[in-house]
Amino acid sequence: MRISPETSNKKPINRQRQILIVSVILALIAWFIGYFSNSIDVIPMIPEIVPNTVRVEPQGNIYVALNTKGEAVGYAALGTSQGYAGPIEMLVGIDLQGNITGVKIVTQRETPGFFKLILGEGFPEQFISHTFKDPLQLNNDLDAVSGATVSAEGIASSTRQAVRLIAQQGLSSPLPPESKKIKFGYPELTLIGLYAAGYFGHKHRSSAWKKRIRWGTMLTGMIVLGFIYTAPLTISQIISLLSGYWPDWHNNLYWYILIGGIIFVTTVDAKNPYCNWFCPFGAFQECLAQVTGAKLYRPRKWSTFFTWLQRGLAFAAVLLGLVLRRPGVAGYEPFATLFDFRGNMVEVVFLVVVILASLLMYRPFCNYLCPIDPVYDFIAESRRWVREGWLVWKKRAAKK
Amino acid sequence: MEKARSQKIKEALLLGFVTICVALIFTVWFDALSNKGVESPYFYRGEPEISDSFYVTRTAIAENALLGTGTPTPEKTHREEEKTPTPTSVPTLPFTPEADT
Repeated sequence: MRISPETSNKKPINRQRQILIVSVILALIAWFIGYFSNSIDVIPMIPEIVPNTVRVEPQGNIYVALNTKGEAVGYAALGTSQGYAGPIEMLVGIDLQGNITGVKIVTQRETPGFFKLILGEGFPEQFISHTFKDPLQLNNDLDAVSGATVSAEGIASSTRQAVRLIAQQGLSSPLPPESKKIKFGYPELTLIGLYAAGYFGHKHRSSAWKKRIRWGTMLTGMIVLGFIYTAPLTISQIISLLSGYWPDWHNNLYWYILIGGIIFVTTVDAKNPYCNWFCPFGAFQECLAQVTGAKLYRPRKWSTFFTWLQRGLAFAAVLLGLVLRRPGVAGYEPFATLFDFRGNMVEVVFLVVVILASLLMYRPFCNYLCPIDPVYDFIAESRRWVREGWLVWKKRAAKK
Repeated sequence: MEKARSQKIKEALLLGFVTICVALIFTVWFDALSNKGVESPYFYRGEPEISDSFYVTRTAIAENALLGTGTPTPEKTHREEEKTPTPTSVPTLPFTPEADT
């Protein structure tokens, strides 16, 4: 049987779309498993944070801690806020005089490296010397943790939320409403600038100028988004997005501009505005390739295998993050190890292997391992599919 | 012939790189998942326990301050602290022959 070229071209597309449907179904199953299997009973934890507690009674949104005589000795409440890779839940204990007697990190989804940094700096202990009337703000009465500001802000914000609940419902001294300032600074400005430069660079007719603009955005991305702010796009952020762990926009405009901008441009313009234009790690690998003159190497016979391996790794990360509801655990990119000089032995070895390979071939991590590339493939394929469907529908409507 | 050989070496190196990286990625995941020690730490301010054998003493100044009576004790100035203390005579008990008998 002769297969027409049209039919032979359609086959891999159909297979890709079947895999796309299966992967969406699996991701949904993982989402539901994660959603329904991650509830924690906080009552047994209250004696750890309120002294002399032997019994706990829920009262509205807070808990009353009682001693052996049945007298109230303090209150506890749970506060939730977004950290770097998901919500951070803090259980806070306060005595009858309004002193914070204890805090407990009930759940967190942060990258282990960030979380260890927070604990190593003794950040949560800082709350213990405060009363419910204190502002509990970073760089005010709390020392921020350099390199893990978003996680520290998540802990502080959820603690404030719990304290406010206790002040209102336990101590009968409601605090004035918290003023939320929009955080907009150099990282956000740089990001908008990079998007704009990438857009105009892409549209520029002169290839020489295009190249210059591209190198400008690449180096800015590497230095500013990489080494200064350590804020590249990671699979953990994509998993946070899918899990519904959207951070408070007042404090995290950067997150929304980065992820929203990429999804918007990829969906509307079918272009990848990030990887080739200002990905900090991609730029770093490209700089290494410039030193040795390394070229792209991708043998044709292995190409399909490598594509699916990369997609498999990305999909495994997404499933892991969704099932465990811990996006920070699923990420495997060595970005923080390079830009923040932080990571365990395995992560350092991984980075060294990638750096050595970058001296021999062009962007090995991007081409074979990066989980962000399959995310683009997914968006691009979905876009193509929707567009085709729209065109068919339009054609049918015109015929009628 | 030479080209085919170098091609094979390149392919082997690439496969080696990818295999090592995949093994390292699995190790990173395994490490992150087995890292239970930092799951839910708590930080606690315990109340200081005072034993029965411990008696709280009050100084005269503290007593005055608490009662709100008496003349406030002047604070020592830096100059005064530097002064050499003036020797004073210590009163002794008068000798009484009756007491000896």
